[in-house]
Formats: sequence, structure tokens, C-alpha cells
Amino acid sequence: MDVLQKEDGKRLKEELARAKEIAEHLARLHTPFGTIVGKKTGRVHTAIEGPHAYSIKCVKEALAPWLDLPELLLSLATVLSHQRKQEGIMLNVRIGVYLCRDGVMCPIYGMDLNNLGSNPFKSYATHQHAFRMTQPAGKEADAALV
Amino acid sequence: MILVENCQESAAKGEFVYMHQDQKTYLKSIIAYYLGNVFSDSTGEVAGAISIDSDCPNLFQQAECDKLRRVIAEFGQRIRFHLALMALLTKKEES
Repeated sequence: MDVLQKEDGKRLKEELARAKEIAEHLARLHTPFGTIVGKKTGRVHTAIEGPHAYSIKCVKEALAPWLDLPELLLSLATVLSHQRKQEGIMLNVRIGVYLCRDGVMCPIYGMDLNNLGSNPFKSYATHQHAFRMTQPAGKEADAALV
Repeated sequence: MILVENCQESAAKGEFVYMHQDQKTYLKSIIAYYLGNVFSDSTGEVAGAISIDSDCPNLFQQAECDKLRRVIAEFGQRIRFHLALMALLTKKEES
């Protein structure tokens, strides 16, 4: 009986630790999303109260996805490196978004966690041939890579 | 999603190729994630991808592949949305 109770207790502790880890992970994941939405909401409120409310210019300035995209990339890099940094390991993470243009995956946004102002895509400039798509893009690739 | 845990070890096995020698110092673990078709500012829908790399070997591990995929997918949806929004607003400016 004691053995069974001990095993139950051990299993419950493990489940609790796992649930705590998942909850912390989800909170870490969703905090940046909330921050980005909060900033966007602030811009929308400012635009509504401004002199040019309801104009296209006003809507563009308020939605401003070009401000949010770098924040999303920075947040993703931070989330992915968080655990190792907690362990005291010094590391860098680079992250980029590529779009296919004329059959070549071109970098359109990039982020270097340790050097935010730098261009992390130096290899693309000198080795464009390596970024050429050799597989079909579009629906066929979508189906193959699910 | 393509995940290379340790680029140097994979290169030694012939499973990964560095484009130039300098990359060995900063390219040690890498993920490439296919976003699917996304809106581009000039050409409509095109294939998109996210590339994430680190100078820390084994930062991304196969054992955590599902967890990493879920995290990147969460961000990927939002990145797709912001790319679409940029395409929409850029087109509005041109017209």
C-alpha cells in the first residue's frame, strides 16, 4: 500500500512539474504577442484621436506591420534561446524571413540577437545560387511539407 | 521543418555543407521552417520561410522537434499575417 502511495505521489509530482513547465512556456510564448498587440492598440487609439482620423494615411500609420514584424522575430529568437541563457550559456541567435522571388529565396527581414543593427544575411549576397529553389514552390510544396 | 542539431558534426558526415569557412564560427545549429504561401508586397502569393540559426551547437534538438515546431508555428501565423498586412498597405500606397 505504502509503495503504491509513494508511486502515486511521485507520479503526481512529475505531472505537476510538467504542467508548471508547460504553463511557464506558454506564458513566455504569449507575453510578446500581448505586448505587440498592446503597442498596436496604442497606435490605433492615437490615430483615432488624431487630426487625420479615418484617412488611409492614418490607418497605415496605426497598423504599421513593419514595426511589429521585427518585434515578432526578436521575440521568437528570445523565446528559443531563453532556456540556455537561463543555464548561463552565452549564445547568439539569428533569425530571418525569406520570400521566393524569381525562384530564389530572398531575405527580406533579419535579426541578430547580439547585434540588432547588423545585417545577418551576408552569405546571401555572395552565394545567391545556394538560395535557389530546386523543389516546386506553392501548393505542391505545401502538401509535401505539412 | 528542417532541423540540424550540430552543423559541424553534420558537415563531417556530409549531411550539411558550409558555404564558406567563416560560417563554422557562427553557424552551429539551425532550423528552416516553411511558412507556406505568403503575400508579398509586389508579386502576390509566394513561398515563404523562416531561418533560425545559432552559434551554440545543439541549441535546437531533434528530441524537442515537436515543441519547437509548435512554438515557431505560433509565431509563423503572426508573421504571415503581418506580411499580408504589409502587402495590403504597400499596394494601397502604389494605387
